[in-house]
Amino acid sequence: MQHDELDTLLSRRAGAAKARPDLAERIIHAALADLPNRQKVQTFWQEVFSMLVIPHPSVAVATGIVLGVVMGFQASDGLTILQQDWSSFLYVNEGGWL
Amino acid sequence: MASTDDTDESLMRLIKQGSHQAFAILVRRHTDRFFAAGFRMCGNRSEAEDLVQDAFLKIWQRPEIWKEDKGAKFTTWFYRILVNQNVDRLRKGQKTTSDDSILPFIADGRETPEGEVARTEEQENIERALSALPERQQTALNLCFYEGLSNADAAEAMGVKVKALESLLMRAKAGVREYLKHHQHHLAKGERYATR
Repeated sequence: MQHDELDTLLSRRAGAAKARPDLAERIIHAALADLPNRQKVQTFWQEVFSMLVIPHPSVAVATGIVLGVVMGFQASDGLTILQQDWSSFLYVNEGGWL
Repeated sequence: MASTDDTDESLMRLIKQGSHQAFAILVRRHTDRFFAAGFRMCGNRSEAEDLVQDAFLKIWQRPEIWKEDKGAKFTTWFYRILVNQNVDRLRKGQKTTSDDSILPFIADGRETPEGEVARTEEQENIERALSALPERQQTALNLCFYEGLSNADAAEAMGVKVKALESLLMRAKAGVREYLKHHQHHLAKGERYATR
């Protein structure tokens, strides 16, 4: 049997049966019956996730970066002062005691 | 507020928000189409109805499985759900032979008695040849040949690469050809009836 013949034969396959007219309505009603469960589950998970959600992630990230940079500068200033203190302390000690 | 003018994708968005109305519109829009696909997969009316109902209820219960950002069309995505539901059904061993279900339906198209016999025999041969194929080959053939999906969409629905789908199609056709060759006397008989 040639390729085209096979395709022709397959295309002569009978059409599928029609769905019962009430099938769609049955599915819709089954979903409606499931509505309380769905809402309960959804409400519970919504509650859980709402605790974790960041309202504006981009704003939060930008704020975090700005704060990080500012605090980083401040920390580095403090460290310099501290280092200066230590070195003067050591210097004094070296000069005075050793 | 859902409307019948909404696209499938926007209805899915509303379903995610809990809109039963959107769900109803989607179900009414696509039940016949997906029932036909289910019927070809199962070869049985009641199982096809269960298959379609389960698939629709799945998206109602877990609408979050629809990922719009992946860019798939709703219908292609839903075929995938249907195919997966069918695989689950087969794993659970719920498959019935097509002989007691799809074949009586074939005789519905009434013609002259002789033409009817020939047509019925031909249809029986086609159905038997198709049902003798492995499940994935049947699915590939059904999606591409009878549901009219492009190879890319059918591949997406089956979760395979296009090359793999093409290979499944080739093997399916070779399988049908082989089956029909072995059962040629049925066809010959049918053709003889038809040419009288």
